[in-house]
Amino acid sequence: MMASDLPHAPRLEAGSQWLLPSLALLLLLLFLLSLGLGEAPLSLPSAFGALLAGERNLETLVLLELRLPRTLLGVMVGASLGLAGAAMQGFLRNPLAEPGVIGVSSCAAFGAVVAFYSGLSLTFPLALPLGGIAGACLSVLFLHLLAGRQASTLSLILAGVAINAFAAALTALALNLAPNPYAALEIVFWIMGSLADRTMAHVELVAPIMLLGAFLLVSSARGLDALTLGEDTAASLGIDLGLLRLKLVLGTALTVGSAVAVSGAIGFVGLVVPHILRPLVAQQPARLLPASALGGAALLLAADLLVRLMPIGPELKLGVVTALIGAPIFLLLLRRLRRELPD
Amino acid sequence: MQIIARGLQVHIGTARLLDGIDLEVRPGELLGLIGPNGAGKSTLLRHLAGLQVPNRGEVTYDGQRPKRKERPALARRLAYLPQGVDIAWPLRVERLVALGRIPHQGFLRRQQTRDAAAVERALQRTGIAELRDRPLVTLSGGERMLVLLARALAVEAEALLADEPIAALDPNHQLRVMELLQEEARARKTVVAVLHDLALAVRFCDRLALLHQGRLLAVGKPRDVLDDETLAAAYGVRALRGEREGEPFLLAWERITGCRGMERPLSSSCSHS
Amino acid sequence: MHWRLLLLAILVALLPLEAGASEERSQRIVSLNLCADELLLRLADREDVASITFLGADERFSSVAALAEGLHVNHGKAEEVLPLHPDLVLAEPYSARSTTQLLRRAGISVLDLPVPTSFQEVYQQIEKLAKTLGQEERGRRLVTSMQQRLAALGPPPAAGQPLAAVYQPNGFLVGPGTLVHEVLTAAGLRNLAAVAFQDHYGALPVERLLWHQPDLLILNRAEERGASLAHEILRHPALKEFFSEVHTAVVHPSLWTCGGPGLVEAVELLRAAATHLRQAEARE
Repeated sequence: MMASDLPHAPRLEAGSQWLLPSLALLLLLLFLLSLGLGEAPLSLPSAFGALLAGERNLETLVLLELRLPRTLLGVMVGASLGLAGAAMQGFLRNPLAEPGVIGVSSCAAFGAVVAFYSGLSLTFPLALPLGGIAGACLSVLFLHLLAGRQASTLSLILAGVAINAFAAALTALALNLAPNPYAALEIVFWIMGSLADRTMAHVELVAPIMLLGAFLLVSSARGLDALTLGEDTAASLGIDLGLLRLKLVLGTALTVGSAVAVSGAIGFVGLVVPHILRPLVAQQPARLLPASALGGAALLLAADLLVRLMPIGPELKLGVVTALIGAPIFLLLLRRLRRELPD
Repeated sequence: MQIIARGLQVHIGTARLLDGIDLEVRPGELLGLIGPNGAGKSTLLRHLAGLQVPNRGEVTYDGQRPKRKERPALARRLAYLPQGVDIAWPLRVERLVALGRIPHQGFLRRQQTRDAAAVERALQRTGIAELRDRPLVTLSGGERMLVLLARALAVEAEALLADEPIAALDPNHQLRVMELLQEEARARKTVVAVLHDLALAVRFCDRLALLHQGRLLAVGKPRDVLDDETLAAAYGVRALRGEREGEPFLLAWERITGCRGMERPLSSSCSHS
Repeated sequence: MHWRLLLLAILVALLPLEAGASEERSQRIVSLNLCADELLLRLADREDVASITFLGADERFSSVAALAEGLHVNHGKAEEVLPLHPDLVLAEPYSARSTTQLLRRAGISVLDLPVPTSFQEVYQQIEKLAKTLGQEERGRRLVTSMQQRLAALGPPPAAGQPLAAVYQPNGFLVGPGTLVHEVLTAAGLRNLAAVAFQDHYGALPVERLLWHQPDLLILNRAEERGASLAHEILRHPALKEFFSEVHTAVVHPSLWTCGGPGLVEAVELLRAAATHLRQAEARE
C-alpha cells in the first residue's frame, strides 16, 4: 500500500496543471491584440513608448480612454459570465444552465434599464450596477417560483423561456416609457449587448462589485464538487447547503447584474465555455470555475475583436456573435441530454 | 461513535413519518433497519445521519448534539450513503471516490498523500481498483454501487450509514457489499444499513430494528426480532428458516392471504394462518 | 331611414366646407411636419393655424415653440386631423404617407414641402408657401432679413478652414446635401463627413472620429430629458479630453434642422467659434 501511495497523489492533480496557465497565456495574447487592433491605426509599441515617456498624445488617448476600457470590460464581463455559468451549472447540476438561458441576464437588463433611463444613474452612478443586481435577484425569485427546488432540465428551460420573454417585454415597456426619445431604439443594446464606447468610469464602477461576486462564487467551489453526488451526500460531507445557495445566488447576482448593466445581456458565454472546458478539468465543478472565468474572458475578447474587425457597417452587437457560436452548441447539448435521459 | 435517537417524532401535516423512536446504535455492530415499504426507514436513517432536524426529540453523537457550525467536524466522523445513483457529471471512478475526502480537505481541495492513500484503500477494499479510470456511465449497476460505497468508505469515518446499498445488485455484488459492511463493523465502526432483503439482513446483521408505520416494533437479535408472529404482523408473510454452518438464514416463503400486513398494525387475525 | 341620414351627416362632415371660406386665404391650416410647423407659424396669422405637430410645440426640437403656446397639437394621425375640417394640410413628402394619402382621398388639399438642402431652396420654399397662404409680404421680409444678415457677415476666410465634425446622438455625422452642411460651408468650415463618408449620413465610432483629428467638435444637442446611450457617447471622456473648450461648439438642433432664420443664427454662431479657434491657435 505504501509504494502505491505516492504515484497517485500527483495523478489526481494531473490534467489541471497546464490548463490554467495556457488559458492565461491565451487571454494575455487576446488582451494585447484587443489593445492594438481597432478602428484607428494605432501602433501599440509607439503608444506604450509615449506612455512610458510620460507623453500624452492622440495615441495614448485612444489607448487609455477607448481601447483599454473596452478590453478591460471584455475581460471582466467575459470572466463574470463564464464563472457564473459554471457556478450555475454546478449548483443546478445541469449543463444547460447559464445566466442567459435561465433568464438572469434579461432580468438584470431590465433592472439596469430602469436605473439608467430614469436618470437615476446620472446623479447616483452606482445605481446602474445596483439596478442590474436587483434585476438578477428578481430572476432568481422567478426561477424558484416557476421551476421549484428539484428542477428537471425541462422545467429549467421552460422557466427560462418564460422569464426571458417576460423580462424582454418589461424592458421594451420601460424603454418606451423613458423620457428620452432615443431610448425606444436602444433595446438592441440591452438584449444583445455591446462593448462599444465604454469608458474607464464604467470599469471603475463595476470592478469592485464583480470582484466581490467572483469571490463568493469561487468560494463555493468545494460545495459544488460535493453536489456532484446530490444534495443529501453533499450535506453529509459537511456542506452547508443554505449558505452555499446564498453565496451562489448573491455571487451570480453581483457578477451578472453588474456585467449586464455596463454591456447589455450577452448570451451563451456562460453556456459554451464551461461546456468546452469541462472535459479538460476531468468533469470537476470546482476546477471548472477558474478555468471558465479565464475561458469566458478569452471568448468575449475574441468575439469583440471579430466584431470590431468585421467590415459590416454599424458595428455588430456582441451578442450576435456569441449567439451564432452558442445557439448551435446549445441545441447539440439539448439533443445529447435528451438521448441520455433514461440514464 | 455511539449514535442515540431519543423520542424522535417527524410529521408532515397530519402524517406521522416517525412516531416516538428511541434507538441506540453502538460501535462494532452492524445494525439493520428493516420494515415494509413506507415504514419510515429512510427517514430514520437521514435523521440518524443528522441531515434533518426532527419535529420532536433529538439525535446525539457520543452524547453531543452538534451545532450548525460543528457539522463539518461531524462530516469527518460520519459517512452517509443515500439510495440510488445520482451523479451530475460523468466523473471517472477514481475522482468520484476522491469526493469522499471533501470533509478532510480545505477550500482548495488540494490532494494530499493521506487523501490519495484513503482513496486507494477504498478502491482496493471494494475490489474496483482496476476500474479507476473508467467513467461511471460505462459501468454496470452493481459496479456503480460499489463506486459509491467506495466513496463512503473513503471518508474513513467512525460511522457509516447506508440506505438500501444492495438494491438492484446481482447476488455476487450483494454479498460483497454485505461482507464489506460487516468488515467495517468488525473494525469497531458504527454501521447502520436500511435493508429490504430479509435473508441477507438476518444473515449479516448483528442487530435488527424493525419499523412499521413510523414505530419501532422490535429491536434486537435477528432471530428474536423476526419471529413468526412479527413477520406476519409486519410483512404479512410466512418464512422458511434454517441454519448453515452455524449461520441462521430466513426466506420469505408465502404470503398470508387475507392479511395486508403493511396497512394494518399488529392484528390478531394475521397471526393465524 | 336613420342610417342613411347618419351616413349623409358623416359625408358632409368629411367634405371641406366651401361656403364661407375666402378664395385666397385658407383659414384652417394643419401642419403634419416640424419644418412645416415652423414656416407656418412664422408666415400665417395665428387664428388660421388649426394644428401643428407635437414636435413643433417642443422647445427641444422647434424654434417656434414659444409661438405654439395654446395651439392644438397633433401626432400626424388622420383621426386627429379630420375632425378639424382643415382647408389645407402641410406635409413632408416622405413622412406620414398613409395619413396624407387618406386626407387626399377625403378631398382635402395637401401641400408637400420637402426638406430643403440649400439656402436657395429655403428661400424658394418660404416664398412659395407665403404665396399659397396669401402672405407674400411676410415671406419676402423673412427671406430678405435672412439674406441681409448673411451678407453682413461677409464671405468666410478661404484659407485654413478648420475641419469640423457635427457629432449627433449615436455618433452620427451629417454629410453633404443637407442644411447642416450648408451652414458649415457658410461658416467657413470643412465638414468631416464629406471626408469620411460618401452618403448623407453615417455613424463614426469615437476612435475613428479622433483619428481624423478634427479642429472643431460641434455637438448637435439640446437639453436632454432623461438619459440615453445615444447621448452618452457625446459625453465620452475621450472627446472631452481631446476637444478643449475652444475646440467645442454646441448648436441647438432647432436652429438647423429646418429651413428658417435659425440657419443664419447657426452660421453666426459657428463663424464666431471658428474665429475664436483661429485666434487661440495663433496664440499658441
